[in-house]
Amino acid sequence: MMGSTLPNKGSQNRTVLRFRNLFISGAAVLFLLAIWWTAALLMDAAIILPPPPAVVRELLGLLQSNDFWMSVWSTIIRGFAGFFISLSIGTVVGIAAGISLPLHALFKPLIAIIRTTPIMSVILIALLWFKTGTVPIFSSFLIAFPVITQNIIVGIRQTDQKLLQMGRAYGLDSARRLLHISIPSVVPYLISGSQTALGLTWKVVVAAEVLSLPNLGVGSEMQLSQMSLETAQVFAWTAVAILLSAGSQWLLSLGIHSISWSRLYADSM
Amino acid sequence: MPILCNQLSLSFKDLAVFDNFSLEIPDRHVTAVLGPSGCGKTTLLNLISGLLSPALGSVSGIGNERISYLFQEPRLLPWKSVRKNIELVLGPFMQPKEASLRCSKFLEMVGLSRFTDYYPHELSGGMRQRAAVARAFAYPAGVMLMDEPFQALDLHLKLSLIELFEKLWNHDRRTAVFVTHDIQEALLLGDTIVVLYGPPAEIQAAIPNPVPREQRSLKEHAILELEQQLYFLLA
Repeated sequence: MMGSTLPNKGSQNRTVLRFRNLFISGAAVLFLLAIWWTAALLMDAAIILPPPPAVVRELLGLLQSNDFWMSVWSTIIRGFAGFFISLSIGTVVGIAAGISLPLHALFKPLIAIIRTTPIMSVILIALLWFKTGTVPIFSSFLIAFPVITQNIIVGIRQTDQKLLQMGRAYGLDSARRLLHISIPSVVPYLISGSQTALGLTWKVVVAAEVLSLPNLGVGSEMQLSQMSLETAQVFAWTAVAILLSAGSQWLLSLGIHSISWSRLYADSM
Repeated sequence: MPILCNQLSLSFKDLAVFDNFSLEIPDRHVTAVLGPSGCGKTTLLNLISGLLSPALGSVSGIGNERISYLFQEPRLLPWKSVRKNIELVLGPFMQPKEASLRCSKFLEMVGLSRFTDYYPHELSGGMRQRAAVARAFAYPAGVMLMDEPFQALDLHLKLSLIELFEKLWNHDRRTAVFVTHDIQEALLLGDTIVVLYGPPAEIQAAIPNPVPREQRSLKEHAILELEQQLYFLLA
């Protein structure tokens, strides 16, 4: 009897907990909105802090223009280009540096330098080197690639030695051990690295657009709105950037869940 | 051909694990190596398999013979199904079709034919070790090295796996070295029981099992006598 009631109770508890947490998060959002709104009313200066309805109005207005979609689309293309270049080069370099100590020694200083370089320096230098539309892609690549590389190096290093020894004992050559044992071990590290890298990508792409002002781009629009003191529009574009980042994270998590065996790591043996 | 360990010496840092150690492992027999933890049993297997090289001495008689391995843990890849785990080790020298047939045959022999597409985490501990036994026997090898493969299992599972091992071994007799610190496992499986102590590892006794494989049981008089004898040697 106990056995039949316990799981039921557990799932009931889980549902209750989920609703409770949703409620808390929802309340927190409303609270922040209330602070914003109150502050805007007190200041009564839309140029410094526009009230939420003004921002929503602005956003709805933007949604109806053709240029809006072209700008968003351009930013999306840049973000995904930067992210996928980081992902592919980071994976290859990470695997190589993970299995070879000399290669690790070779890449280590480069990765350490890039990781500590201020994002703004990367963008300013890229501005001197590239056309405006390329600056966001190059900058986001430079910032996101070390994150992925570093995660993969750690993943390769953490490969279960007992499984590698099994592979050697059963006469698997080093290419097979890499393909069937080391690389699958890296998957959880690749997932967490990609999530971090994707979040960084949007921040860098928008920042680079603000500075390089390509014809179309969320960052360019944001900068133009700021220069013409359209504060509500700056807020609206910011909301667009946040939605882009959140949407892409959601797509990434869908992709991760579609790989059934990646879930196995939840309970590895 | 028997496997000969000739005057092996090997140290880890300052600890001499083997110092002029020699042992003959007869062909197509199960040699049980019984000894306390840390006496060099696992190192002996690693020297025989070539995963480690001795500082002095040599291991002969293996030549190009392939070696299959049973570890204390199943050591299955968590991202591959049971079938794919076995096909992986067969892959380098078998056509996929042949590997698949061989894999099915051995999974059936260990009673896992309904679970071929399961992932290791979906199986019980005993089933995982059975899959590892299937992998070891499906792998065409003349030599089989076993490093306490039944140690983590409860008595019932242990006995059923020992029975399973005997069934598969009778079907394909390999030169097997079975390392354990469990007297009863050594009595049931070993055709010869080598008692080690150390480090450095030394052979305290090498006793042929007086009871033929088919008749061995923990109730057999001769087995019980030998158990007493081994107990005194180890205690």
